Amino acid sequence: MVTGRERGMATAISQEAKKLGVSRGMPIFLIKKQFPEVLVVDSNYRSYSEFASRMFEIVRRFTPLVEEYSIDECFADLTNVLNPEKMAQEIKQTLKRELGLTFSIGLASTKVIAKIASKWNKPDGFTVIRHSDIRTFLKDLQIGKVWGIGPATSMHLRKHGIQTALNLIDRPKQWVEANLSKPELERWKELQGEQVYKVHAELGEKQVSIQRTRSLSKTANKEIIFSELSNNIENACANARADKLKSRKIYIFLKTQTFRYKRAEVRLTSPTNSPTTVLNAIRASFDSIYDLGVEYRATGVTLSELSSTESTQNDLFGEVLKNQKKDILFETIDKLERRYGKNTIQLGSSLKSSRMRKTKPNKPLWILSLGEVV
Amino acid sequence: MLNVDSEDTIDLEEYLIENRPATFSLLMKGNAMQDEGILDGDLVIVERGKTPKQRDIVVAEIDEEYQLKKMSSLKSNQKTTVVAVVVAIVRKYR
Repeated sequence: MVTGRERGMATAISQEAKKLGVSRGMPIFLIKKQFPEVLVVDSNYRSYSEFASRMFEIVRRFTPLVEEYSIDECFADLTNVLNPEKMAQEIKQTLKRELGLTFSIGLASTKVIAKIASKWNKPDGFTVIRHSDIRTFLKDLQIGKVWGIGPATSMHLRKHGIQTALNLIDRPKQWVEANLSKPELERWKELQGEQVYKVHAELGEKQVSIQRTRSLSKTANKEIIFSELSNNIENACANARADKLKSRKIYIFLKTQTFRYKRAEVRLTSPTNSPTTVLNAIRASFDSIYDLGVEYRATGVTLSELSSTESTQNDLFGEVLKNQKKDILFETIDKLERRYGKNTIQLGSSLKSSRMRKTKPNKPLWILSLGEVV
Repeated sequence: MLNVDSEDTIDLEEYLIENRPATFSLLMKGNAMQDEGILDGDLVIVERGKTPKQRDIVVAEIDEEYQLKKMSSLKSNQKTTVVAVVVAIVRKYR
């Protein structure tokens, strides 16, 4: 069976059709001509995205550190798990038991190697690539099969005599630095088992906001109060920088001697972790909540809507990937699918509550149909 | 029966579904299960991955077809796979 009738090309191919020789991207008319026995159907995107969000939901039972990579793939960070192999097995079994589908899982110390592992034994595969086994797995792996190495790059690498992934990691670092660009150096490291790419979990992000509050000795002096607030802001920003985070929404509050709170919030046009930017942004709000003659006992700041400062770097990586994928017609759909998956994210729950709380996704409930029963 | 206690609203999703990602639906065809109160056209809500109890009604795969069966009526020597357990029936009257 092949899906993609509505697009005129094969988007997903059953194992049986694969064995006949149908490949992704093959035009439907050609499939019908060459393989009349293959059943061609429309893609059912709603059903795909529902399966995807269920898959992500199930994997998140095991760890909140899940990156929804595409409509049928995710990365889960099991770094701090006691027995990652056992957990990976459990994830696989649970997915199969509850979704009735088979999943191929790859376990390794870097994303690039994990990708190789997950593709090693499809379908229903389970492959662990230990550090000491990396070379064995890379020996016969065509360089173009490595995640993120597109046709143009692999041609370039072949010109340098690099046919397999093992050929690449056997080159010394100096050679890679001299002859290749940054993304290839990153792949070179990842292929050796040195982690460069992090798992970008969007849900279960442990930090939702950064807060700093401090009480001060009773005063009505505006300058003192502002400098107290400024101090809190500086600390909070330092904290954000240490965690490689930027904030887009700033809350400030002043607490009066009579325990009343005066609050204000400011939304910035772009995220920041610079105290001066924050101070400039909140100055007017501070003026508006500060009451002349009132004594205050505490000030505080909350940096929220946090995002990673590395996201610009990720964009670069994404950009690189995208450029290399240019020749593949699935680019647009990949994006769309990624978005589909992401729409199902529930925001900002903390580690424990995201698992314990009965979360109700903010979207209609699609119950997948299994057809008819007698 | 309704687990709503003193509340005067009911969330159908919460009422019908326990394990969301493992829940699927099937359309009942025919009246083979009418003695169990399941009629032609009923929407059958099922959950995968649940261990069936003797008194459960289950979806069994028999001869490449999904069939509703009482778990207790399944013979152990029968070559069937239990696909899911029936957790709810939805019937529309109009």
